[in-house]
Amino acid sequence: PRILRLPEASSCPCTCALSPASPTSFTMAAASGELPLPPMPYEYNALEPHLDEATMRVHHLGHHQGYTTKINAAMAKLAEVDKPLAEQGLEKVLTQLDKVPAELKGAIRNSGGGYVNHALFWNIMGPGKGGAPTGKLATAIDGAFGSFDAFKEKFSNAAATVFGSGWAWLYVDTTKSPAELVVSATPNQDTPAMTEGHVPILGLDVWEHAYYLQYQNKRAAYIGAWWNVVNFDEV
Amino acid sequence: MLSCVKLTQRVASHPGMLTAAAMRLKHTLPDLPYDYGALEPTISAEIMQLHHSKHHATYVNNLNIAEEKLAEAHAKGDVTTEVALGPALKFNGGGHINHSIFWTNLSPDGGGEPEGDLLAAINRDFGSYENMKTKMSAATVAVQGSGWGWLGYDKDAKRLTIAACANQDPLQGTTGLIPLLGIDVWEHAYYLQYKNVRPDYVKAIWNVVNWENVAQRFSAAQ
Repeated sequence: PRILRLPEASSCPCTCALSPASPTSFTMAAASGELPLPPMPYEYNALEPHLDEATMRVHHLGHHQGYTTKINAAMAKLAEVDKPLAEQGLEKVLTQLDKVPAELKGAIRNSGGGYVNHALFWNIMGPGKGGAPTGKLATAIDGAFGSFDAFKEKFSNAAATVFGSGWAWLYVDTTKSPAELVVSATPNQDTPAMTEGHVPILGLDVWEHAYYLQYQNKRAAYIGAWWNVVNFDEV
Repeated sequence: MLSCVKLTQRVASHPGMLTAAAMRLKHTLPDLPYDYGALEPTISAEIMQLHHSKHHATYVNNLNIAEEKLAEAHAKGDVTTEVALGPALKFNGGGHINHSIFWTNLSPDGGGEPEGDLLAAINRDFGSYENMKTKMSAATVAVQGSGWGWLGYDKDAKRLTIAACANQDPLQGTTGLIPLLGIDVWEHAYYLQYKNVRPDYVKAIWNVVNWENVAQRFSAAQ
């Protein structure tokens, strides 16, 4: 399964390796050993009129780039004090924050979470998408929530009621047998992926920077518009 | 201070007699002490209008709703609901408290430096105004997600203290420190103008700090 659709003209210097344990996660290694800013799979204006170009630019080149720079610095410091832990890679480190030294914990949680969360976010959106899921995903959603509309309402409500900064999620709890679909919300840059076996498959950023330029305080309008760009094939 | 100015009463069976259950104090949005454009170019008129008439107004409305629900739960002895309302009271009550302080902390005639007793306390507790400014700016910029940076007063230790709070957690309610000067770093406070460059906003806001107001709060806290 493909994780990132790189634009054809991309000269991305990185190799993208799939993590065998979880096909929807990824590890990326740039030539220098640092994490690169994941490329945007489409043009910045591609999600108009639902998500505006200006927001997509600042969100990717400002915020996501900031997380990328900071997590690389934090992981480099972690490698100095606990090389085996750092070598497990960011995704694994995020499930073991209790093992991270106190002075690095905040940076890794915030910037590491920010790094992976936004990488997922760009991938689960796309131009000309929206609509409803089909196939196995649709069946699973119906099973877990009753209907797609019921799922949409639950997810939208989770997104609308986050107080302060955070995310709404749909994740697969693979620790359960059979695996379960769960709607949740997390504060700041926390992610369900901080728990081993919880695999986020859909996320919505409700930090104000995700919508303020276009929607100002009207978060509900942003959430409503966002459904028009959700790429359920990716999900 | 909050402006709790409107009383709504249900006339009890004895006209003129008010029972505790019939009285509802409703919070109202305080007026801004200056025009929306008064803090330009430091904070844009667009931001001030949204921040005051939308964000703060929403905290006021939702605080009233939460308090109404609290009173109803209390009247029924429904402690479960009372406890469940805790977060909503903290969010919206904190939001109302914090923004009410914030508007008075700023002024189109602000900027410059603190004087008198407040300056003496700043010098005593931080070495210099510049040092306090540097430390408070750093703590404020470093807030993860949404929150506030504060210059607060510790009444027990009799010293000025810099603190940061998450979300709308009110300084005094959560730490005991008396709030003197707050800097809102929720993205709505600066995004339309400064985008993701929070440090530029925090650097600029000192241009409009109303030191008279901060000094009044300091004096009242003694």
